Amino acid sequence: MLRGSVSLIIGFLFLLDLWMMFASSPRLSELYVGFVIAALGVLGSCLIRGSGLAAFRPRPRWVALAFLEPWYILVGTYRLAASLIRALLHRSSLARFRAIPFDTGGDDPESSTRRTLTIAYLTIPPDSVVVGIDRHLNELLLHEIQPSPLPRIARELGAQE
Amino acid sequence: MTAISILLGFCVAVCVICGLALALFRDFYVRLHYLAPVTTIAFVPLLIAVVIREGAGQAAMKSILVFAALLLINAVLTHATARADRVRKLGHWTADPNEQIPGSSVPRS
Amino acid sequence: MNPWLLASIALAFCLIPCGIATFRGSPMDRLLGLEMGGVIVSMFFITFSEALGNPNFYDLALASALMAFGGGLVFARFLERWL
Repeated sequence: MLRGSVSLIIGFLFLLDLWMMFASSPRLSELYVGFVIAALGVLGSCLIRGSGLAAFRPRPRWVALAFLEPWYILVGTYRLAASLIRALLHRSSLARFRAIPFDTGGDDPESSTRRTLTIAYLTIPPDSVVVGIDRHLNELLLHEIQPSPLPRIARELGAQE
Repeated sequence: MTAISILLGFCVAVCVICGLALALFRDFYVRLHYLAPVTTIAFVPLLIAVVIREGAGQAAMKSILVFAALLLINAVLTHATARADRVRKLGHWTADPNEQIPGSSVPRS
Repeated sequence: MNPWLLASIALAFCLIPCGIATFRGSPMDRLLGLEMGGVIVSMFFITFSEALGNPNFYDLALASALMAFGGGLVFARFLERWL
């Protein structure tokens, strides 16, 4: 209950902060509107969580992996550029689908969060697109612009290779 | 002003390259990859140019909001589009026995 | 003619290949053109806002990005299941 209340308050303050950034005005009227908007947002979040549709409970270590993303974006851009040059020189494409063994976990919020973050972290860089995580075969299916080693992010989140 | 021109030029160059790649490449998944640089590599110099011109104010805050939104939006859209394409073509998005996907445990037919 | 206005014009021209992609090929190929067009339009609003010196257009960029997300996702889901 305490954890839920704390997360509600944090969510409320975060949404209020976003509104004030969006409004960019120190007026009191904007703050009042922000309170209403943030409250509506928190209400929506509670309704979605209560329905069990989108359980999201990340560990801090998983969220911290986002700091590796800029490096992967740069490396991915390099690989995409190399693939573009290859195409301009009329060489065959190295793009391919690839299946990676992945510990998919169960229906609990943490496993669901781990799968979601894996999809996000591996799709943001330009050189890979995650198609899906097959829970029956415990596989992650992705498309990569050229063969490349498995990123550390994927291994930290459950890829096994 | 020169720094802003260079940054904007780089931003536009990346957009042009990605746009041309989208129009000229034939493979769907290769074209899908070119969505990402527009929101990552092209937007960052634009963001820096805005901060240089406007400083840390309203414009910079909103640009950062747009960048964060586009970063997440692009990942979700790319993933959903890739999955939708496979489902349309194969009836399912998972590895197919007729495909030769490295690492897949699906027995080949 | 400042660099922001030039960038706006160039980004507007970048919509041409997106339009070409949207008018050709299978529905999924066209969806790619729509998605990239949505992102470029958001960037266009930012550069145009700076070109005119009117910060109000930044709100349009954010709204455009969010609408592009909703629209693209709806199209992807419909094309996956029903169309």
